[in-house]
Amino acid sequence: MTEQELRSRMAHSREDGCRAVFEEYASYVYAIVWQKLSGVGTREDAEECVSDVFANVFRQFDRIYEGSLRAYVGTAARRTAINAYYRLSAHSTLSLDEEDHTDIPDAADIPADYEKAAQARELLSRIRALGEPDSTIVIARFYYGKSSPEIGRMTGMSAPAVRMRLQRILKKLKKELEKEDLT
Amino acid sequence: MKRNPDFDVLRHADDRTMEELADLCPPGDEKRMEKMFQDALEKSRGDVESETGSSTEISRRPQWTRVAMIAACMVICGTAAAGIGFFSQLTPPEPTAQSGAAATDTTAAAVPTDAPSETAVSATAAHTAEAEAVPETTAVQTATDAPENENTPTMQTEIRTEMQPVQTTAPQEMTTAAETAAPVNAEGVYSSRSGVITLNADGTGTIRLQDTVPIRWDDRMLTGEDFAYSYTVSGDTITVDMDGMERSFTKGGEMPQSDIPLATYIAGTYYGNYPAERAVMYVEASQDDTVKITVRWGSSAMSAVEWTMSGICEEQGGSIVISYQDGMCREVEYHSDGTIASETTQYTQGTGTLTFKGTTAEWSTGSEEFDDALVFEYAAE
Repeated sequence: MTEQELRSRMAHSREDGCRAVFEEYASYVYAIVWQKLSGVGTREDAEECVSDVFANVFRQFDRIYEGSLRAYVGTAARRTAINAYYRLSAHSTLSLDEEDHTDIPDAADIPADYEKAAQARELLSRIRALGEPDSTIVIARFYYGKSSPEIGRMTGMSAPAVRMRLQRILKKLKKELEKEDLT
Repeated sequence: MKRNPDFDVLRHADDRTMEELADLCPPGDEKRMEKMFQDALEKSRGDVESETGSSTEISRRPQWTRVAMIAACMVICGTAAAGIGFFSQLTPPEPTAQSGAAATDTTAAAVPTDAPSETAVSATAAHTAEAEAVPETTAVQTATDAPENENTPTMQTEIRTEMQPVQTTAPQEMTTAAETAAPVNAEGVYSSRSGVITLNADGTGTIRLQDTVPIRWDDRMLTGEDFAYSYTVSGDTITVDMDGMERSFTKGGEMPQSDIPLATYIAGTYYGNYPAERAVMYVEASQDDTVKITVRWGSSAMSAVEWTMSGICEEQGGSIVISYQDGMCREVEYHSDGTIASETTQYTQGTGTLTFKGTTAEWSTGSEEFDDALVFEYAAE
């Protein structure tokens, strides 16, 4: 749905419009939030953060400049997730291991971040090339950390079938990535 | 050594990659998504505090919810204590001849007063007077304690603790009861073409279908990180209910398919019957999941066209598929003794696909040699 259509929906019915905005951007917001919080928070923390993001978007909707809705949503997601990250980190034992803080960018690591971003792009293109439902299964398992029964409910497969499929997918990905030396 | 792909690198994805990743996979099921939406809607309408100059909003729960939660906990605890006191006064039903372990478990959990003696009776008709006397005493003491003891988990523990010595006073009954309540011969390694189940003596184990997952097991359940399967054992066979699908594995049974290369399942000779001619396909399994395929189509007794190709077996929707890119076609002339007199290569680097399902092999070439796919049937030895 385009931004224009979302604005029309919102003008027609507030709740319908909010739902349409949510459906359009929920996956995007969740992906950003999970990127920041997966190391320090639970799934419930991430879901609460997502609802905070959208609460903000719904409240501010009329003040968002036309043409910049997606950018606003992304920015709100990142800010809210980073704030949640610090809040959750303050409540848990802080690790002195540098690797635990890679989600919060440091200006000195920009070249390394750029290389990792490039690797992420390449890996994702390989995952996308697997086609459905394999690409969904891989992201659900290895990015979102979902269990086999949860993935089964998403894809209409049984949990054992998901596990079997994951093994074959991994074998295939390993082979292809090793050709490009991306492992 | 092959390593798994480093999926953690996705956490360093840039915005554009995040958008693509989000398109590939929804974050949750419909229920969770709906909850997130409703929470967002409520928060956007509710009374919230916002930090000046920030897009972050903070919401605080009203203080009264804490008081309500404490009151609810007290009600639940009081109800639980009253319920346990009520059930402790119930008279147990008479056990039937087929009650076995199920009755033992049921009476043990719900009727502590006479449960230990019921356990012995259900296993065998013979029991000693001593076995009867001891559990009554201890059970009465336990039942007496029940109303006064509000610590429900401790009381349950006491009941079970009191039950155990009763079983040791009647060894024969204990053995029989143990067989039905906790089948100790469940320990072992069971296999079938679909997987391997290993049950160790210490209650740990693994289930291997395509991947190997650790489990813990008891007398009824195989429990993993994200699943719990019930099972039964009969002799050397264990039958497991995996999400509604029953699978059986046997000690010393067949090995799982994953240990057998896919190519093994399609190796052999296939015939394609076409008017006045006969095409033969030979499938030779190499190592791992690779095959070499030769198709010979005799145009006469002394000449034939041969195709050779090779590829890796892939499982797709219940079929085994080979896509090849090294297809070679040649015309061969034979001597009367069968040796090759001459051969002429028609093309190399041909492409195509072979699909094996059941006893049928279907061959689609990338060239325009044939209008339709050719179908071959497996020739039984």
